[in-house]
Amino acid sequence: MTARPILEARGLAKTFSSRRSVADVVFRRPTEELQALEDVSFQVVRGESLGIVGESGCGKSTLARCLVGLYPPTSGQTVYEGVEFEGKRSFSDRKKIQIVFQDPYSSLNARMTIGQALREVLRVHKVVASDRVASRAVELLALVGLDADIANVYPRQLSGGQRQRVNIARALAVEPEVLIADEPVSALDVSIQATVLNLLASLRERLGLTLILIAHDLSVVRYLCDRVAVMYMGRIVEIAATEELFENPRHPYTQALLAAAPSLERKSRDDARSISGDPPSPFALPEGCPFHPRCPMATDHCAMVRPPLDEGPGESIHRAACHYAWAPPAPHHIPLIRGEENFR
Amino acid sequence: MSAPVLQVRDLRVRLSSPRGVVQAVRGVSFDVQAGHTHGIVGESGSGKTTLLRSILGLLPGNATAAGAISVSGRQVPLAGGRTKAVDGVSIVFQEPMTALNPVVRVGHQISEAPRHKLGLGRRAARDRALELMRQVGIPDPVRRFDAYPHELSGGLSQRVLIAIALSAEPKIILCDEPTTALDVTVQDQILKLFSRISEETGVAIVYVTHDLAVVAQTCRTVSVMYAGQFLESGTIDAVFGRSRHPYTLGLLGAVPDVSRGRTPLVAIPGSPPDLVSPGKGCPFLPRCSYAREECSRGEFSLQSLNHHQATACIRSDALVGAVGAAEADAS
Repeated sequence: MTARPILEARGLAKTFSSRRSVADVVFRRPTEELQALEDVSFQVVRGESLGIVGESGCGKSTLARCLVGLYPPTSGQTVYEGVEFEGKRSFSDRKKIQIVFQDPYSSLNARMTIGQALREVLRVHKVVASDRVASRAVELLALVGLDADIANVYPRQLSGGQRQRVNIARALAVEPEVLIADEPVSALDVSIQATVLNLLASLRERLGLTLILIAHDLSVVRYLCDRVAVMYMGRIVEIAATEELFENPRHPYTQALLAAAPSLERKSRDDARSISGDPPSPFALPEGCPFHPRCPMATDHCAMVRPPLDEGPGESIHRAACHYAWAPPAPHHIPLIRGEENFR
Repeated sequence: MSAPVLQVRDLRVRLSSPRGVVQAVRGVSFDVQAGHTHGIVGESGSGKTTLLRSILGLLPGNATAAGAISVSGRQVPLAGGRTKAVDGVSIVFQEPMTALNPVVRVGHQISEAPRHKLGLGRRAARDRALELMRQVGIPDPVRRFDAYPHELSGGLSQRVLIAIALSAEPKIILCDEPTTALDVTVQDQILKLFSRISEETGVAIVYVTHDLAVVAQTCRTVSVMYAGQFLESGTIDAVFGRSRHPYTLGLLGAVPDVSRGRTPLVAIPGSPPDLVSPGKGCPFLPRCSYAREECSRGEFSLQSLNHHQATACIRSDALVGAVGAAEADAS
């Protein structure tokens, strides 16, 4: 990549400790630790849109919160235009990266009108002169395609799609360079989803925004993103340009995810690539590759050695964390035989 | 063809609410044959859940219903406020975690119906429960029999719910968004399980969801529900491939699909009508780009186009050339 990245994650890791009860302390039970993120690194170029997909509990929302600064990472850094964020972010730092949350119902203050909510942000961050605040709020509503009279309305009077637009307007009020959208449409009805997705696409174009879209829904990411990162158990297991990833997935987990996604166009299901079992408990990750207990092509090597996120031969933009992403297993690697535990 | 297991005829359900009487279901008719899976697609508030409750015979106390529902030839009582589901119908809910009793071992929850409904003894009911757990693909059923719901993952709890649904030997299983709360890879496993169950046991499945792609992969036939009515019904190929209703076409063009690149999405303008005062004419009229004056008059119900498809649109001839974005892209 030639352009200088606007945002970079360098080895981000985040560990949560489970809450200890009095009994745990008395009986000296060890603290359980949950590794939500492990060594997550990627770069985003200005104006690009990066999709982050994975199943629930894979760490995608934790990643979003670390990038915005809502969680301090356990180790690693978020780097913005070549400068590390250190410690608590300053007011001006916080303006640069903004986030839109999943649930449009709980992320607005029920006791504030939409206008009040927007004006508060504008005043606190001194985005415009105080006599311009009211008119700027109306401009923001227009930016996301809402009428000016919405400003006098309370959140409960709006539909889910309208609220999500308000959330986007509020995030854009401080004129961020990077917008992180955490599952922006998964709480919305199908016919409404398109309006919000199209809004995000057009805002990106009009404002030159850099977009990080977090979703469990592959179709949403395919529609909006230039590049996609697939996460499993707190790690990025594959990252590539969108078309490359969807047409030529290298990691068995990505292949399984694509095979499992229901589609209107694909009638026959690719059963060979579907996987059995549930994701492992994040408190007890398996040794070696975290995907090996569910992987159809796992060998004894996978059960012992954790594969790094390696680049493919000759193509520096496609990376996958699988020993066999670009080469078949060596003859001395024995396929894992699994017992009854693997159900139909 | 044998007589359908489920017959719904001109079902109308009104729910009284502080805002007035909500016309939740407005004239729905359909049949499902044994061993078939019928999908019902609709957005929130379209009346899907009220329709399912009617089939179960469990309408809420504020409901008044007209029309007729029969399950294997027996009439389902449509009085509101009943507390006992009709025999032969089971339901699988969306949230497996909240649908299970958290303080009862899952094995006992599965063996409840065999013991009390089918009259099996304790030992026989336990064997039946273990057999059901095996049938729905729960690994190590003997150990899992004594587990509590919180010890199971979302996918396993949903399998337990399906085992419970099967335990009373139903003729029909109703599914209310059973995979919406699950991850894609687990959803895939559960959808395959449903196909296998209907093949093996001949049970009829009514599958309600908002997800068009899920319906396309699990069901043989589908009805598109909007504002308490069916706007289009037919085989999957007909309804999704050669849709003859503007709402179905709108939905097909509004959802992104994994197998499709960046075909632009077109949102359906406006919002569904208020079912307290739905107004006359076609319910989709205010949002429809094909609307003409005659669309604002009279009642709209499904009219057969051919053996495979029925639509409520009186201008369906104008839609012959119009294809959903799905097909346009595939060709």
